Formats: sequence, C-alpha cells, structure tokens
Amino acid sequence: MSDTGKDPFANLDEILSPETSVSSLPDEKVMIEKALEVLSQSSMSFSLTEMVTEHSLKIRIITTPREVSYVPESKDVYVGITAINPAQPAKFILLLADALLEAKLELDGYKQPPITEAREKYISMTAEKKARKVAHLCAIAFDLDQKEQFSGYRFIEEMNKLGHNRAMDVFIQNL
Amino acid sequence: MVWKQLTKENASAVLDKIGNDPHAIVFSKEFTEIAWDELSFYPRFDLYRLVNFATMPSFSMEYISDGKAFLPLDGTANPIYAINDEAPISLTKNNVVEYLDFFFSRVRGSDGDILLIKSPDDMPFLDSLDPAQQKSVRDSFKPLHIEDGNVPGQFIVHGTLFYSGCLISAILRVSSDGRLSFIERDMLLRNISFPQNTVSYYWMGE
Repeated sequence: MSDTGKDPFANLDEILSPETSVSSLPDEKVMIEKALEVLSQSSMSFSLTEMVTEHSLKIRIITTPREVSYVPESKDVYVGITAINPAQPAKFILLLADALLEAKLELDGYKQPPITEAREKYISMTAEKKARKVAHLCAIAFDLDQKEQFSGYRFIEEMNKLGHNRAMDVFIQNL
Repeated sequence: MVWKQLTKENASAVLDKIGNDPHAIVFSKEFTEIAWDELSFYPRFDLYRLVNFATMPSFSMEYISDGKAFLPLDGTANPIYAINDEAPISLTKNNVVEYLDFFFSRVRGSDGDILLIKSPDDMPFLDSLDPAQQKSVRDSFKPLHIEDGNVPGQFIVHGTLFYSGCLISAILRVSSDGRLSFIERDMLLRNISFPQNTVSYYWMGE
C-alpha cells in the first residue's frame, strides 16, 4: 500500500490466507439455546419456541457464503452464517426466527409450490408466503426492540441490514 | 458460466452422494435442481450448483466434485485451496483470469463481495451510478495485465478490484498451487454506492 496511513484493506490478506481463520463463536448448542431464550421473551415469537419442542425441530448452524435461513423440510431448520465476520447475536436471532417462521408456515399448510408450477402461480404463492413471514418477523423485531433488556441488540437496525428496511418502515407506519 | 442442467435421475444420484455425509446440508429431491459446469483449471473436478426451491428465496450452495466426493464452497478460500492440492490445479496464462474470477466470486470478505473488474462496462451496477461517478470509475480503471512470475508456474496479475465500496488497483501473485497474495494494492476510488443487493436468486431452469 503506497498510502502512509492504515491499510483499509488489510482484511483482504486474511481472506486470501490458506487457513482462513473462522471467527470464534460460542458453541452451536449455546447459540441456539440463547437465541430461543430471547425469542421466548416476546409474545410475538413465544409460540415459535414452543413449536421447536412440540415438533422436535432439528436446528443446525452451517457455514454459508451469505447469511441465510433455510428450511428444506419443516423439521429441519438451518441458519447459515458466514465464516468471516459472522452474524452478531441480534442478526442471528432474527435469522433463526425467520427459519422458524418458515417451518411454522409449512406446518400450518402453506407448502411451497412445486417447481413445475407455472411461473405466475409460483410467484404469487411464494410472494404471499413471504409477505406473511416478513410481516411476522417485523412484529418480532419491533417487540424485542422495545424491551429494555435487549436495548443493546438493535433489532430494527439488524432488520434493515437483512434487507427488510421497507417492510420494517411499513410495519412501523401502520402501528 | 455455461450451466448445464442435470436430469432428475442424475440429480437424484448426486443428492444421494451428498446425503451420505451425516453432516451434509439436506436438499429435498423434489424441490432441488442441479446444474454443473467445467472449470478449465481443474481437469478432474467440476463445479455443481444446487438450488433448493423449497424456501423463498431459494437456497443455493455450490460444490466442487470429481463425481464421487462433493466439497461445499462456504465463502472462504479454504475449500478452494484444498481442491487445488487435491485436483491438482492446472493454471496457465490463458486460464488464470478465469481462476481469479471463480475465486473472487466465491470467497467473501468481511466487508462483502470482492469483484474482479475486467472491464468497467461489465460492472453490474455501473448504470446505477451518477454520471460523474461513472466517469470516475472509467477513468480510474486499470486493465488486466498478466505476466510470468519469478518461479515457474507463478503469475503476476495487475488489475482492478471492487471491494467495500472502493475500486482498488491490485497486483496479485498467483502461485502454481493457486494460492493468492497481494504484492500491492492502492485505492483508486472510494465511496462507490452499491445500489442493489448482489445476491443472486435462481429461477427454475436458469
């Protein structure tokens, strides 16, 4: 770097290193337990935590290129976090809530349309499902954000970072 | 990439192989489509893209495979370097840019995506920038230039990267085993606003 100042791209060296160090995280079980504990504090997400026990949902944390929640089957719930700079607690909790909402919708009968379905019908069915999910996620984020014990988590800010800024704005405007 | 779709039977066989690993991510056979493409620098290995449409948005993962073992690409350089040793990688002056493209589009930094800019006009978001920023990008851009390194099989690549809202002029060393390191990097332009998410979602059959 020809600049005399601090190299703003120093982390690029780490990315290219042969042994990319995966950022240290608490134990998977602890992360999941803590996240469920937080979700149980909101009336908007309490039922999701009960659903985990009731339906014996299997929750796993996986390393993925991007942060993602993934529910291939209603009883298999994945939260994908990146190896470098992984999701901070609030984002992780929201990703888990997102996955649990997906599982809930599946269990409630909102099945994903088959991939052979006509494009228009596929879009309208998935859009409806997504709208339900995101609306509920906004309610969870807002409710947790209002609680004093979670004031440092900044749930609404994390919703924006997850790309739900417009949905969050609409939700707050309609309160 | 020129993705080729696997038939349902072949896709099912691939999912069976991946599913043999008890730690593997579950993909539903009913909702998953698999496409593959060759990578010129891996003579024995191909790239597979699995897209599960069971969720919205769709969930995708890429794997490198010789048809027997499937190694997931997790956003770090580790699996790519592991395959480079296993395959082994075969780099030439003709395919080193393809390798860099592959590498940077699958390895993410803590500040997001790293893009190797081969031509400013190919930047996916260029049109969304205001005219002054577009001009700055075009003026700052340094074209790709490849030369042999000091060691046989090593290449030195001069080019432009986009990372963390900045254009960076970079000189990269690519060793014969595919390891990358920076020789030099300089900020060309900062505060390029990224107007849209670069996450790709896949529609069936694409």
